[in-house]
Amino acid sequence: MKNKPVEEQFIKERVQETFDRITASEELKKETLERMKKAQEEGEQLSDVKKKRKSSLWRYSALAAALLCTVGIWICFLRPTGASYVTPMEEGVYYDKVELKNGVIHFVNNKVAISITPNAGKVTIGQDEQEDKSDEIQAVDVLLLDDGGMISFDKIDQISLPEIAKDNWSYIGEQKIYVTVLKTEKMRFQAVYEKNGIAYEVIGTGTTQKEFIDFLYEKVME
Amino acid sequence: MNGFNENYCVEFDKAIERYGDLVYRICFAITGNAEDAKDAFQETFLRLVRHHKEITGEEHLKAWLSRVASNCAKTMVTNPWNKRTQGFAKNINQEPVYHQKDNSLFLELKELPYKYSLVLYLFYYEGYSVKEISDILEKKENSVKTLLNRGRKLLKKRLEGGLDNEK
Repeated sequence: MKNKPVEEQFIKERVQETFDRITASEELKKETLERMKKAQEEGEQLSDVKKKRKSSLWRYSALAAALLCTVGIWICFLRPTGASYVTPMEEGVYYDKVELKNGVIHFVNNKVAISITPNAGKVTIGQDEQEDKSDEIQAVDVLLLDDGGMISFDKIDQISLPEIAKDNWSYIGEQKIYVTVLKTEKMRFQAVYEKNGIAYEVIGTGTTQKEFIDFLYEKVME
Repeated sequence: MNGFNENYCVEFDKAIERYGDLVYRICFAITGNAEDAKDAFQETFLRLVRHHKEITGEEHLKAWLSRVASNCAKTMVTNPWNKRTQGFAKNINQEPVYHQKDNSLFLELKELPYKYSLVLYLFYYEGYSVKEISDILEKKENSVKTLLNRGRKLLKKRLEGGLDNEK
């Protein structure tokens, strides 16, 4: 015989009756309350420790941030750009003559002076006054700057360099370069390097160090 | 009814007294045994210690406890360790609350998948609406309705079968 369908109300009442019997015991409630109080105390202690940790962490973070800022500023603004490594430029007043022989730059004792013509894309190399000679060469590549400065780039086989530079090579990548600076009315930068058996000279007059190095870097990496 | 109140402060002893049974029943409906229900019960109230500052009122507390109890008990049920082992109480059927006169519906409810027994409990016992249950269980209203209908049908079927067998 089939039972009559169980009515909604019947189910409701039976569910209520059934769950009425399921209760959390007083023992369970008491034990739980004790655990809650203990957890709260531990939590408060933990919170104090966390605050102290946060405070120390804040101090260390501030210090780390300051250090990072310093390094960042140095990287962004102070480090010479364009060159992987360039030794500090030295002010040189002593000149020496160099020659390219068998792919090596050799220094000759005869001193010469260099004069730069800042507006014609020319580099004039004048030998010492006793010989009273001058030679004018056309620069291969000249960069005229807006503020009147000029950077020239040329192949050379004989050029004057400051003596001090002999022991003070600079590098762009693997390329060994002589770089020097002369403080005259207009700041003058000079770099000489040899590549594939050819000596090159880069001279910057009235330029900033950055402009000069950027240009030099571009040429060396060509 | 207590709505949002930023000055509301949960008192643990009162919370256990007022909602202890609610939490325990939810845990029991899901786990189906007293030992796991007790563990889920304690876990629920310990979570309240950590989160009591977020509670904004009495109704919020009740709903929060219902939801967390449900989650804790579900975690207990789905825990791989629990799936592979059988508790001491389950083994020897040490749940005195079962062994009472006229416990047929209780046993039927216990045999139902917990998703149905939980919804039936919240709907018929706690008097929550479908919308409120959907909020507590974080399910869509339609899903709750479906669970409620299926649970009802399953329970009816089992009760009818049980009565048939008795006769």
